[in-house]
Amino acid sequence: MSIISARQVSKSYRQSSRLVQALWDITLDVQAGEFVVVCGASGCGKTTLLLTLGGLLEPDSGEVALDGQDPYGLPGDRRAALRAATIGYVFQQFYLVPYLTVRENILCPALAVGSPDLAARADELIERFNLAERRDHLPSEMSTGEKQRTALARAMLNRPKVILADEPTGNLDEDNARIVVEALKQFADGGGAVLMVTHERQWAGYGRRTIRLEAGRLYEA
Amino acid sequence: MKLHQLLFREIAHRKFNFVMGLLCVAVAVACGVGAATLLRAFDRETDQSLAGMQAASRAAWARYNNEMRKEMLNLGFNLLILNKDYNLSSPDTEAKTLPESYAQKLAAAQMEEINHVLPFLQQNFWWPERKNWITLVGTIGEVYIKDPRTQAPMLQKVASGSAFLGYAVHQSLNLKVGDRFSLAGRQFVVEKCLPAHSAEQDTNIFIPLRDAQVLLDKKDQITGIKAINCVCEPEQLLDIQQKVSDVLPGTQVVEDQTKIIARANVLAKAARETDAALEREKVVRGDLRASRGMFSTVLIGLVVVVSAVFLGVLMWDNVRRRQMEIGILQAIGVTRRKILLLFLGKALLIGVIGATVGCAAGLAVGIVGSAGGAARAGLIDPALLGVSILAAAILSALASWIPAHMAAGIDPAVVLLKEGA
Repeated sequence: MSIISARQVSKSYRQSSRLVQALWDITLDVQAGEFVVVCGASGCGKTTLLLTLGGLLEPDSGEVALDGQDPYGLPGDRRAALRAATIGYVFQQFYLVPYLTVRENILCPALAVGSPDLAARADELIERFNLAERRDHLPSEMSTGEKQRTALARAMLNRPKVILADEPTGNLDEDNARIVVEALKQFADGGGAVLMVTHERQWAGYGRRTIRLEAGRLYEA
Repeated sequence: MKLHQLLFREIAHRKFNFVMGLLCVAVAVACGVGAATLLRAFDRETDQSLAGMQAASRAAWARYNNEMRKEMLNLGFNLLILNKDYNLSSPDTEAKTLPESYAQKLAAAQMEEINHVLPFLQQNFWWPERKNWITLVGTIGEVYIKDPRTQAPMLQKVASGSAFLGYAVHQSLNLKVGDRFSLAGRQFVVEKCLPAHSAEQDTNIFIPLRDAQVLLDKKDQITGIKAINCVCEPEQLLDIQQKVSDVLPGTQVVEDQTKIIARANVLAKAARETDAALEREKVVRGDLRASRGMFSTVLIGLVVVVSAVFLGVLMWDNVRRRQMEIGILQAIGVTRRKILLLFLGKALLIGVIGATVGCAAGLAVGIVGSAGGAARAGLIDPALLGVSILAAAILSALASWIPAHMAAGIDPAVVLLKEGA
């Protein structure tokens, strides 16, 4: 069964008086253990695609299924619970909570899903992403690489079925970018699904599948 | 990670926002508690002041009752009932009289307070045979004795054809008991020579009423009625004259020879002045209380509204600054209900802590600002403090209601698209 399934999904925005078609008749399946890289230029609809597939942005038409469930057919709380149980997000801007330490940021998903072993899981991820010395530091005290590793650990805390990564290497140097992409690949190798959107073609090789997004349309590379 | 941990970490991070929120609530609560405490102190001062005046009033009336009861244990008081136009300062000028039937009317009324009723006719009289002015008094003795078995007559009746002579009369005319004399052509026998009493009474000649009415040409008329040895409860003493006047219209009722009613009036006047002072104090304190209460209400209302608006603005600013954080929390599955709780929890915390600080400040202001002394005792009202804290928490939550719902209503997709753009 596909972790993510999209059928003929379209999404448009109104910008001022102009209608912008961000996604156009998108059909896509992401299976467990699959690392899918979506390449596209800035403004081609990559973030819109991730948000739509991630149950955050309802499409104008088409069907989306997350782990077999239509997130947009669920009431707000259940949709949030589905996201919490299924998806981990990684963003280019990290979006760490500025007043929480590394460990607390990693534990943020526990706010959505309370689980007794999450503290131990957080410590395990801290070790895994080499953040032990930074565990009690605030994001403002960390490098961009450390921030992104923290965001990656946060995304993995709940052992999600899929990680949606939006330009995760966009703000990183080569070494840190490689660490992040390697981590995503390991996650996929471990049975999770990864859908990473990027404008950097160099990461295309890491994906089992690479898809090109142009003007809101998907093309298999 | 728990919601309250997030709440406390955010508060620690944005201290200024939290302290300003506390200040809003603390100022409002301090105003409320301070005003209420000052009003409470004022009420206590009023109670103490009025209690003192009430005690003085009670003491004045107790003195009145006590002294009047003592007086009643003696011979009571005497009333003199005269025509209302009788000139007391110049008794014979007009010589206004009463119908003789008034004596029977008063006797028939059987008033509880009156023991002896003595009608009399009295007038200065030129004694032609002796060429001398005397005071002629006609009497028929007592027409009413309340309890004849236990009460002896106060005045001996003058028998027909007899006369009692005042001291000055029988001394100056050398008359003795049994002597005969002529008075305007009527013959009388001296029945009694009275001992010296007073200059006024020593010139009296007491003869039967009928003879006096004939001699003075006052048929069926009397000068007045003496009600002797009257006794009543102190409470009724001040009304007795009016009560007699009601039975005998057109009369004036004055106290005669005794001083009980006069003394009662003096004591009652003092007690009434104390009562009047008490009433004036009540009115003055009541007016002051009302104006202070009104001022407090307006002040508290204004401060609460301003504080609530300011707190709402602070919370709105907090929401605005935390949009990205809220968006990402929602994206990772934190429900809108929890986001709402996060902000309302913060508002409640601000309300409770701010109100506690405000209560302490308000109490300090109230206690320092009160008159002091005994009025300060018991100024702390636990119920007021409890209600203030509860009300502040609820008001804080209400003031933050819209910002909290704005936070819960944030669309994570909009935030992430905007931030990612």
